[in-house]
Amino acid sequence: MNSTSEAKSANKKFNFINKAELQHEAIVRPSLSFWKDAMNRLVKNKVAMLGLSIIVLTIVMAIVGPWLTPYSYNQTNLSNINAPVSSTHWFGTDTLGRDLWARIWMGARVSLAVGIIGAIIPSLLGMVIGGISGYFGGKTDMIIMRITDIGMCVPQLIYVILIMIYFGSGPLPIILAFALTGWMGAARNIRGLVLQLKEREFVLASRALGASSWRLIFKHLIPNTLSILIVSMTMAIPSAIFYEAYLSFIGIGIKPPMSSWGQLVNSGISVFQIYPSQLFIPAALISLIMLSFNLFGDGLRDAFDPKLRN
Amino acid sequence: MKKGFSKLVLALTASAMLLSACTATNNSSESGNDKGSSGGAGSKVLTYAVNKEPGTLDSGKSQDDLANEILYHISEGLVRTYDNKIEPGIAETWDISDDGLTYTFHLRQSTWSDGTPLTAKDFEYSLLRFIDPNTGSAFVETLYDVANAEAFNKGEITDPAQVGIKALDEYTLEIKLARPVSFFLTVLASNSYFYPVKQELVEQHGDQYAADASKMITNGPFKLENWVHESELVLVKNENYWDKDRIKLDGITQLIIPDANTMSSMFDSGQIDYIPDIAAQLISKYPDAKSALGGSSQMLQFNMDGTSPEAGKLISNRNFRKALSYAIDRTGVANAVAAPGTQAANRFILPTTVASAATFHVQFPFQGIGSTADVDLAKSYLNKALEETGMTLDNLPKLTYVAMEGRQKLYAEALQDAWSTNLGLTNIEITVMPTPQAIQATMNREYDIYVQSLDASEDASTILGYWLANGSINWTGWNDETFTNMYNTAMAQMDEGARYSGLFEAEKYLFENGPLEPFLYPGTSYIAKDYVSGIVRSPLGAASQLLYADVTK
Amino acid sequence: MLKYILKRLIISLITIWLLATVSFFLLRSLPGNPFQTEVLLSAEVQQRMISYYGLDRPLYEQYFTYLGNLVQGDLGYSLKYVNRSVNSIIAESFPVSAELGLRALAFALPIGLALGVVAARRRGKAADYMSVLVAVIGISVPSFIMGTLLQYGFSVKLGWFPVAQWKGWEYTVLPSIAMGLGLLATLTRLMRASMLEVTTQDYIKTARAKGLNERQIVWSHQLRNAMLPIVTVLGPLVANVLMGTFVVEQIFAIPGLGMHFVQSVQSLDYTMALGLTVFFGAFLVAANFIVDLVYGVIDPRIRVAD
Repeated sequence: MNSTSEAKSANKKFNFINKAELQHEAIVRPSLSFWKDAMNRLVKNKVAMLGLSIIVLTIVMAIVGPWLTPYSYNQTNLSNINAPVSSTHWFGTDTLGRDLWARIWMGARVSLAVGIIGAIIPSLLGMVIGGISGYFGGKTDMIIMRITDIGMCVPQLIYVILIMIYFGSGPLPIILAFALTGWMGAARNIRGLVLQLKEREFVLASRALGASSWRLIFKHLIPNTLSILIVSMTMAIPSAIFYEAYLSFIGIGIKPPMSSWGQLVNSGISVFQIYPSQLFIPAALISLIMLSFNLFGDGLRDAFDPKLRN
Repeated sequence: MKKGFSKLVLALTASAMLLSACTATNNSSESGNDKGSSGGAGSKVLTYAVNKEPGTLDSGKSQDDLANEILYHISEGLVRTYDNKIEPGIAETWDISDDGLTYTFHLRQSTWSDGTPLTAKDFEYSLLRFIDPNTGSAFVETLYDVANAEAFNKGEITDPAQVGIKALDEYTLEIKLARPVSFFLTVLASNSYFYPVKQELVEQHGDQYAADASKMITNGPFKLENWVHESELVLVKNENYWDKDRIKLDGITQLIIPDANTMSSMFDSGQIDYIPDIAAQLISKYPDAKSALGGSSQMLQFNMDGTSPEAGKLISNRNFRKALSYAIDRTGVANAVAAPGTQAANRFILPTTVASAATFHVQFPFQGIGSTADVDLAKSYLNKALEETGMTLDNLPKLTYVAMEGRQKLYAEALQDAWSTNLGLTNIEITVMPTPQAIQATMNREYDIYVQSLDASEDASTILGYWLANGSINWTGWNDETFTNMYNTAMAQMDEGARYSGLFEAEKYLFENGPLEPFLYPGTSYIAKDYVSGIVRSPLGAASQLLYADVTK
Repeated sequence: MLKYILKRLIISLITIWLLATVSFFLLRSLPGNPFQTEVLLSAEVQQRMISYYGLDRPLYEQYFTYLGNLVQGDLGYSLKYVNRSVNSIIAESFPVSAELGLRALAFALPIGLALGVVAARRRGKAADYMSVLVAVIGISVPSFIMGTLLQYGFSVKLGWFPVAQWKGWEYTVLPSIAMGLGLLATLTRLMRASMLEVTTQDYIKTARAKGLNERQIVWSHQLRNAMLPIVTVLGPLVANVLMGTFVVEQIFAIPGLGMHFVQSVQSLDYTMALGLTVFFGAFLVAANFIVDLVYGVIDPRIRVAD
């Protein structure tokens, strides 16, 4: 039967195509999950990968750096203070004669931890609270927003001093302080976006299809705020690093003799007219890691943006 | 809706343009003053900078050194200090009764800066106001030696006439003491609380007296012409001052510049003529800087009870404290992080303190502690301490070292490392706190080690008196009857030589047994342009004494 | 609308009352007292000063006294600058900080937004990376380094501007830039992200399809919608900026409010710290209120007023 029909059609102007071979509905592109797809695009983004490599390199240095020199970060040498960069002290020494190479990489541990965790936790907290506030609106929104108003106005120093007194000094209390004071800004930002987004057509459509509030918030609204969130998160990292410096500047912060980048910059600034390297080395490192986080953040943002898929 | 948005954009741009066009007009009057004060043709104005605003210029309530310094220049008490000596002020002469209890001051005829006469009544009013409990003065204890002053201040008597401060006539003031105090004139001369305040103005302005230049009138060589809070104080020569011919400057401008780098840059570019306190990190920029000792003494203070019973057992061991003390390189710390001009301390009493015949250090030499570390000695003390307490090096209780931010923290880091390197002690933890919380911790005795800095300028007894049993700032748990008796016996001596040698015995006892170890004598380094002359630095009274300074450009 | 504004006003007052209450009790729960200064006062003197200022009365009593005075607009006297009232300190310092803040904003806002727009439009091109660089420098070089470097370069080395103080137009340039750069960077980054977010929206495609030219699309569609996140941050940002920055004021010796915010809490100057908090609170609440109103102007679909 098959062969006869073929023979028949050979005589006609139009050929019938075998329907079985036809694949209108076929999914040509390999099926990828959202995450896999995002990862693919992220890996292809050279600039973002450069950023990531610098971040990884810095983390590696933070782990092994202090051991590459025979000097310890807390070993003072009052007869060799403020030494310049040399073959024995690769970054010079500080005002107590401590090796700055060791101090910078020890400091990187504290600063990266405080910077990254201190940026992520308040952003996530803010995202959830802001999302709920913006989505439900009305009284919920009013109450949550007034709480953030109050939270933003109470001098941060009060919280911080209280935390330091009850939890001691160290990286964890600083992260706690940062989380406690940092979520309000993020919450306001997300809430503003959600207010705008929830009036969009796709949200209406989803709502019409009977999606629950939680599904709407977490599946539709929050993913659409991710790009703004990532940007503000990458910007929050240096704030967290410098917040720690600011805290130790006013007498709270990590426990001496531990160092941190913020503190190194703080003490570097006071001597920069005489020993500029004490300022410029840690400052350059902070700027470099910042640049990397921003480039990586941009790549991440692009990768997660469903609209940029092609 | 389009309109709304373009309006917003318009408003934003308009405001941006407006702002960039507007100028700082609100300070134009001050900038006029500045032009006058920054050394215009013919005027001799000394411009210098300090890093903070004085708390208050109400002399009775004043507390800080900055207020003391400004008030020193714009006010004058009965006697004044100059170059570490006592000089007559408004009191031309004075008599002291043989029992040392009655001081009679004979005042010169002088006026306030507005030309109204200044009399003994004004001093009587001012001193009584100072100890009046309704005034809120902090340092009233400095006058407790005056008859009935303490009772009046504590509200036990309410009639000011019973207090031993009396204007006998227009120009005679009598002060009666409850007990003889040989250095009473020094106390009177070196503190700003005893300057006269004008009753009329105090009553007119109430709580706001001296809040601004217009709300105060003083009687010193200079007067406060203008005060821009947190920015500058402009002092001009007081033409009504009784001794104005000796004053060469037309004015002094004190700028408030919090940042040390900024201050140094302003000096380099000629905007200020004098830096009274060069920051430690900038000292190498100024090889010509001079240095002077301040009026305070720093020591390591230990809490004999400790933060835990174990810590208390260790810290109250004398040999352990000596081990800590001998392991420190005081000179090294002073050179690395202390204010330039700071010296290693070998004992508690300052080198500048004067005794009956010479300075205390010359009259009563004492070896005390060395200026560099003596590791072997420190180790032998430590071994003795371990033996006595039955502890081992790797099993020592945690010791808490409370420090404030800044220099104190750097000291702590240097000492912690010295103890770890020289003695192998790894049980000392630093806790950094803001000032009030750190002081609260020492008051609550929630510390083991603390660096205490105390004023010691007036007399050898000052620094020793703090450590009497249950003394008011003795937060060490060391209440030693022997020491207290030695001190009190010495202070009861009528003969100055005997009093000082008694104090010397007390100092030695404190050094041997007390909860303290000498640490540093804080100093300052200062630099002035070469056209400035006559700057006097003194541990007694105001730090910078610019009365007879001169500017010759 | 009027009803909404009235309602918001009442809620604002309640917010400020709650703020004053929370701050009052938190502040008083800090250990230590205002009379523990570097010049050491004995325990007795501290106690005497505490009772002189009525700080030993029961806390609730002090709280009600404080509220009573607050209602009358009296913030009390500073405990550190003992003869200056908090009202007078704010009256003297706030105009200085506000002027500095406005100048910084006037510098940062137009440039930051413009850079953000350009970066988004030239995404992935050199202009984009330049804007990232500017932004990163602005964010990661904090104002205390920027201020010090600007001061050293332009005042000390080149002598173009005065080193410090606040006495006229030429004194304001460097501090405004030092403070503005961080703002500029923040605004650039946010504007870029926000512009990118709207570029792919359907209404932009529609606008393009119906033949609007690029200029019209950017101005009347993209910008308007991209402004929303900016407006959100602008509210608290403006409030913060006008209140002064400790670091810049310190470096340039500017007699602003920034220093008081830090010092008052640090030194436990209760009246001062509370006064500033309430003042800042009132300011921020007003700013956020305006932001919510502006939301409606930018995007009429948003109804905060529900």
